[in-house]
Amino acid sequence: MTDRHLLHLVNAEGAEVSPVIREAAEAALRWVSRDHPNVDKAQLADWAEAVGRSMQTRGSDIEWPERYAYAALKGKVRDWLRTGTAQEETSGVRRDMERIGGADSSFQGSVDRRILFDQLQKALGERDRDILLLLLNEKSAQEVAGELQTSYPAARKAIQRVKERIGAILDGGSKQTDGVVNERGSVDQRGLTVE
Amino acid sequence: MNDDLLNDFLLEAFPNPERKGCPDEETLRAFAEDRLPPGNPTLQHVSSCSECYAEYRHYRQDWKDARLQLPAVSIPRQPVAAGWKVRPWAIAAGILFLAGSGLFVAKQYHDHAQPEGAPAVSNAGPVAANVDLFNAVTVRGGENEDAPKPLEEVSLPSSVVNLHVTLPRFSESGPYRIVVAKDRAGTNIVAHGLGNAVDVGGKVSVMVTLDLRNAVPGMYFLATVRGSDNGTYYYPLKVN
Repeated sequence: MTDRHLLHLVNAEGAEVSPVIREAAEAALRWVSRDHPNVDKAQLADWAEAVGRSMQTRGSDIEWPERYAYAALKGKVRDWLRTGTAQEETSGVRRDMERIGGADSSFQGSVDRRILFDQLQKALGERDRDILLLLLNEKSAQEVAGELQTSYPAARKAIQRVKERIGAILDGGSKQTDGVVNERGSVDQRGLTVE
Repeated sequence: MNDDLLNDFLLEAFPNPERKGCPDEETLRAFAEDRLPPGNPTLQHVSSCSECYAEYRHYRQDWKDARLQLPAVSIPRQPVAAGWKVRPWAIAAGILFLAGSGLFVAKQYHDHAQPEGAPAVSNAGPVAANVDLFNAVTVRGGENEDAPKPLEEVSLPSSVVNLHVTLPRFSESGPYRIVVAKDRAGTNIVAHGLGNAVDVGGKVSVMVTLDLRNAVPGMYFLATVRGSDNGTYYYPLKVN
């Protein structure tokens, strides 16, 4: 789980960074590696060390170190994906890896995805999103009832409604986007099980 | 449900780059680790903030990974002999018997085995503990071995501890990290927690949760690390 020994975290003078910054940089590396499993880990570690150095320089300006380190490292990866892809030839390992990793650059795909997310946003109220978040993170109906401070039957009914709403949108979305299915934004009917 | 797509929906559809109204790191971590009471407002925020949802997922995954690394205690299943018929009344009687025995053993243990005032070590839930450093003499930094030894020594159980730390006189409020480490260089960290210190009646205190279940009983250092400038102070700590 930990990447503690992977990072050489020192400031400009070669002294070790503070434990807080070390932990933040290590957490950021772990998290961004999870977000971008196909980006070269050595490259990520290099960026994480740069983030750690810069954090040590800024010192007291940083209120929440983990949040800062994660945002900074994520930003570096995004920049690299954007500019790096543009500089590459149309064939080669990096482009293939991005495709496998799900970095879909298709305009049509991103439009489909945005439309789908807009529809979900309109259809799902705040409470529905709360339920969705809980379900995605493996909470049982009983736990959902506890979080929403409602009864078990009411929670079950609410869960059912959320699933129906999502089902209706994904069902409609797949019909509209028939034939233009992108890899990440695809509407997979086999994946949807309204229990 | 199509989990990946719906996760992406929460990760992308509610951008909040300026982090308006976001809870602090420790609150988010506590929420991810199911340590917040039900009905707290963090859920509503996280389901409407893509940045917080991304962090929440990582905290939760870290927590799950850490739990997987803990040694699991499993009771081997006994095969039921062929031809036996399990009857509901027998199951109910068994449960009643076990529950009664458990209560009896627990009471005996509580009455006789545990000396008064000893910290309650339990795997069932967090143990509350207070550390008062208000009048403590402190050592700053990790290099100077000749510095005067601090007067205070605190002890904590090797358990999940909800620790309330009253910080030394003249401490500033704001974010603090409480670290338990094997050495004062802070390179061998056993547990850590992040909290926001607040001034109540002239005393600044911070609340953190430390998971000391993997800490071997012995001597450690408890460090308070101020978030604003990483000012670090160390106190000897005994883990029982």
